[in-house]
This record gives sequence, structure tokens and C-alpha cells, in this order.
Amino acid sequence: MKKITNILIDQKLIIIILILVIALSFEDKNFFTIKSLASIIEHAVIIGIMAAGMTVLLISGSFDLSVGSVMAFTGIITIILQKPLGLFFSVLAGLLIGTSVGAINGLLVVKGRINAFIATLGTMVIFKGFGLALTGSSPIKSTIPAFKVIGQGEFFGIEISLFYLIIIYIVVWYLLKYTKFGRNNYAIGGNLQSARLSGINVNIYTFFYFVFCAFTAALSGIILSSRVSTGNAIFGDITNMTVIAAAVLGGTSLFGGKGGVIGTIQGVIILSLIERAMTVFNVDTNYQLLVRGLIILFVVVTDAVTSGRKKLDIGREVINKKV
Amino acid sequence: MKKALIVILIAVFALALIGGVSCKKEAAEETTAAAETAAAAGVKIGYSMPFIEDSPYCFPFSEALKKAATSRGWEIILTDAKGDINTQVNQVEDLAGQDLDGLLVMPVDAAGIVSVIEKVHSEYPDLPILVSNTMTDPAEIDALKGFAGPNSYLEGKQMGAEYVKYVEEKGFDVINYCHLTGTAGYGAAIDRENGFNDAVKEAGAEAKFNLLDLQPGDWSPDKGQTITENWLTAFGDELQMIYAHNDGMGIGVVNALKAANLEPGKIVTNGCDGQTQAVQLVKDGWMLFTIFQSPMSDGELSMSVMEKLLKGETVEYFTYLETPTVDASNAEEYLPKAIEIWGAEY
Repeated sequence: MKKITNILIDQKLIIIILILVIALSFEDKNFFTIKSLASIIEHAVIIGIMAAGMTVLLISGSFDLSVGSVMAFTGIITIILQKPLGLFFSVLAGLLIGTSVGAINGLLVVKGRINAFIATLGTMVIFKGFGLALTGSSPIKSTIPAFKVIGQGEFFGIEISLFYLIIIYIVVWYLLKYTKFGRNNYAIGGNLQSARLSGINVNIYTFFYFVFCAFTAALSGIILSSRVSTGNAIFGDITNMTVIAAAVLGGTSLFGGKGGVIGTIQGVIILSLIERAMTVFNVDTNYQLLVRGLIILFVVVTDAVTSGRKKLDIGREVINKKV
Repeated sequence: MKKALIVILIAVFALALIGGVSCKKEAAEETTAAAETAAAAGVKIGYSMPFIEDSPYCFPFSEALKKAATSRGWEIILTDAKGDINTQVNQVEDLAGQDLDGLLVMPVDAAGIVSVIEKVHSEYPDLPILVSNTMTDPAEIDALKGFAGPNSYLEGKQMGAEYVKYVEEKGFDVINYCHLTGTAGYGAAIDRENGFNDAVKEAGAEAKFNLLDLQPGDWSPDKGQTITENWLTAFGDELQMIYAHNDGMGIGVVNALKAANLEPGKIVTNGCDGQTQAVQLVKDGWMLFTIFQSPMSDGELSMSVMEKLLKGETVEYFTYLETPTVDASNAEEYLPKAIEIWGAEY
């Protein structure tokens, strides 16, 4: 009996996914088709890729509010550079410029000793501002038709963008589990002081976690701007909260030291299933926010209760220290 | 003990969800039963909204859609993209997979929505798709059956023409004005800016309009008020006119003018939408005019065009909503209409 309850609790995300899937299959007779199932994950690609980067950063105890702005900004830059540089180099330049915002974030936090919340809030506003300035506040359209392939291209009826998601998750999972990049991440997020005392170069690692997070945002920006063939500075306005919600829903702690991408992908899929369920069940739009909130709260509360008092106390200690 | 509690929680959650499903089914059966008595049984419409609660216009608009659907005996699925293009693209795809008879979209982004409309059209060639309220960019695409809604560019022109008329009537050689735009990057803001400028240009009155400053007021009364207060400090008596993109910001402008103890009409401003407060301000002489754009008529218009499409009638690609100008001469007449739509307070 005890064993069963333990399994239920450990795999609560899977159970919620199953419940949602069963509920959806009752109502939607086309649900169990490859197209419909694939589209649930296809819809999660953009948020999902950024959530992987965010997970890495959250584990180290930092976070990044600027992902939405970086995403929108990268799309704009890539489309602007299409004319002078051509398709391949414009995408490359877009990735590079978007990623470099992570370097700015990293430097502000590591060298400037600015709180991650404030530093990334600043870059969030600045890069939305750059985006607005570059486009003159109106959307700009992609001129190269082949650019669409990145986000809209299909391979045996499945969108290519799905494969980027899979690759990113495999890479991040491997990095977190088997490399110093990952192991030191948990050490830094778990206890900054002892990580520093044990000889980990905390600054360098934290810097690269910011860079990586911005890289995932830049990649998402290219996929999004390709999907809609447009760049617009307002595209990322609510993205950061969705991304952080997906990671936290997947069990990654906002206080660092705990989490992983296997949880995150489940969180991302749950958010995508909830979206689908809202449409399939035709939930009145007046109640949608309430339903979303309840589901997220349910997961987070069970997580807080099951992780036990001991860990919560550690959490408090860390907060106190940071303050 | 605690773990047992969790299991119970999960079980309750699951039961609630499954219960919700079955309730929903019963409810759906009831509505279809009701619908069957109506002429058009089993018609299912999807409408993808850019936002609902976040916009004073979209909320009554969505209510109007529901009303228009029920009166025809249709089932309607509304989705809310919360201003996010990625969410809207996903929702449009989800909607298209729900065995719809017709799909309507109000784009978050005029250019960004085009590729998903084309994609859905290629997958469901028989599904009629209509763009509503906000035009796509380019405005005419093969995948669409048409557009129904107000023309915000023409509204901009209409407002520009009103100001040109005002300047000529007053005999100003030059008028110093500030320009309060909607949220940067949104279609209606771009259209109302370009429409205004083009109207001034076409009237050959460019030399008469001297732009002091342009600021985005994000459609909000608070921002409109703060920006106007700054302008009053910066430009003082020089400022003669403030062109605002909607009623909300226009109301903010008037609040700032009132707070500065100015007479009505000393600095002229305007609204656009025809909210009760704005019509009242036009009547009281604080606003030169507002444009009457009823979300109720707007929602009903889209649904009536969709009805024609479903009956197999041919419709013009563009169906525009009439947006009359409300000025001092007819404000009295429009006030009860505005109260009916927005309520007395809004």
C-alpha cells in the first residue's frame, strides 16, 4: 500500500497527463490520431525549448525574465538581416546576437553583482525597446520563402520543429546528468557558499547558464518568427511567465538545487494539454484562468507537501541568506 | 497520513475532472436538443479571440458573439490568446480540428496570423475562414473567405478629416498638437496613425499641423492622463490639440485638462469607440468628437457574414462596419445607445 502511494506521488505529473488524455479522448474522437497527438507537442515546442534553458538556470538558483524579449528580438534581427546576409547567415547571426543577451545578463549578475530579477527585468525592457525601435513599432515580414521551413516544414506529416525540441531535451538531460556543467549546477543552486568553498568557479558557470538560457530563447525566436513569417517586438510579452510556470510545474525549484528536464517536459506537455482541453471542452473563457490556476496550484501544493518539512526549512534558510 | 491525504487529493481531482466531462456532455446534449428545435441544427463555429478580459472592447464583443450564436441555434467555441501570437496559432489549429462548420479569427498580429490561416485552409479546404475586426496583412489572401469589421485605417482618416475641418473652421494658420497612440506594435494603433496622417496629407493641410510630440499611451486612461500632464508642463499654452487613438486615452487627456483647471475646448481632443463617458464628454464640449464603433454590432456583423457563407451565398470580400462620427450635434442622440452597450458608468 505504501509503495503504491509513493509511486502515485512520485509520478503525479504522469498521472495528471493520463487523466487529461483520458478526459480528452472521451470528448474528441480524433484525439488518438498521430496528427492530433503530435500537434500537442508541436504546440509546446517554443515554450518547451525555452523551458529547458530556464530549468538549467533555475537549478543554479537564478532566473531570467528576459526570455520573451530575447525571443521577439531574435526574430526581428533574423528577418532584418535576411536581405544583406541571406538565409543561412541571418539565422546564424540571429542566434548569436540573441545568445549574447545572455552574456550581458550573466555579466550583470556575476560581475555587476546585481540581483538576477532586476538585471533581467532591465534587459527584458531594453530588448523589447530595441525591437520596437528597429521595427518602428510595426511588424516586419520575412522576404525569403525558404525561411518558413524552419518552423513550418514537415517530415512525414510531423513538424520539423518537434525534432529541435527532442534534441534540446536529450542534450540538456545529458549535460545535467553526466557532465560538470550539470553536477556543478546542482551544487551551486543547492548551496552557493559550499560550492564556492569546494573550488567550483561559481561565476564562470553561472555566466554560462545565462548564456545557455538566452540561446534557447534565441532558438525559439527563430522558430516562432519562421512559423508566423513575421517579427514583432510584442511577441514575447507574456512568454517569460509561461516558461517559468512550465519549469516549476515540472518540479524545478525556484530556490535552486532541485529539478530537471524530465519534469520540465512533463510540465510543458501538461500546459499544452490544458490548452487543448480548454478548446475541446469549450470551457467558458470567463472560467479558463480559474481552471488553469487550480491545476497549477494543485501540482505545486502536492509538491510542497510531499517534499517534506525538512526541505522546506532548507529553502527558507537559503532565502534568508540571499536576503 | 500526509501521503494518504495526497492520494485522496489526486483521486478527488480526477473524479472532478471526469465529473466535469460527463456534466459537460449532458449540458452539450441539452444545448444540442435546444438547437435542434431551431432551424440550423448542429452548426458549430469556432472563434479565436486575441484577448478577452484584458480589453474593454473585446469583452462585450465576446458576449455579443455568444448572443449572436445562441440566437441562431449555433454552438460556438471561443478561445482567448491573451495577446500572444504563438498561443493564437496553436488555438487556431486546435479549433480547426474540432469538426467546425466555420472558423472566425481576430488576429493578434495582422501579418503573423497569415501562415496558420493558409496552413489550416490547406488541411481543411472546405472550412470557411473569416477574419473579423482586425484585418490581415496583406488584407486579401486566397485562404480567406473575407473580412468583416471596422476599418481602423478609415477611422483614422475620418478622425484626421474632422480635425482638418476644425482647423479650417477656426481659421488657424497652424495648430500645435500632440499625438497619443495606442500600444506600439498593434494593428489598430498603426492604422489610426497612418489614417490620420494620410487624411491631413490629402487635405493639403500638412503645413497647418505642427506635431510637438508623439507618445504611446497603451490605450489606457491612466497613461493618457500622465502623458498629458507632462505635455502641459512641457508645452504650456503652445499646445492646442491632442489626437488620441481611443476613448480610454481621450478620457485620460480630459482628466488631465480638468485637473489643470482649463476650460472645455481650450485644448481640443477626441475619442474613438463611443463609450458612454466619451459621448458624455463630447456633449459637454470637452471632446471634439468620438467615433461610434459598437462591439455589439461588430460581433453581430461577423456572425451574419458567416451565416451567409454557410447558406452558400456569395459575399463581398470586405464587409465594413459603419462607424459614424459623434460630435456636439448628435451626442444627445447617441448617449442612450452608448449606455445600452457599455452601461452608464463606463
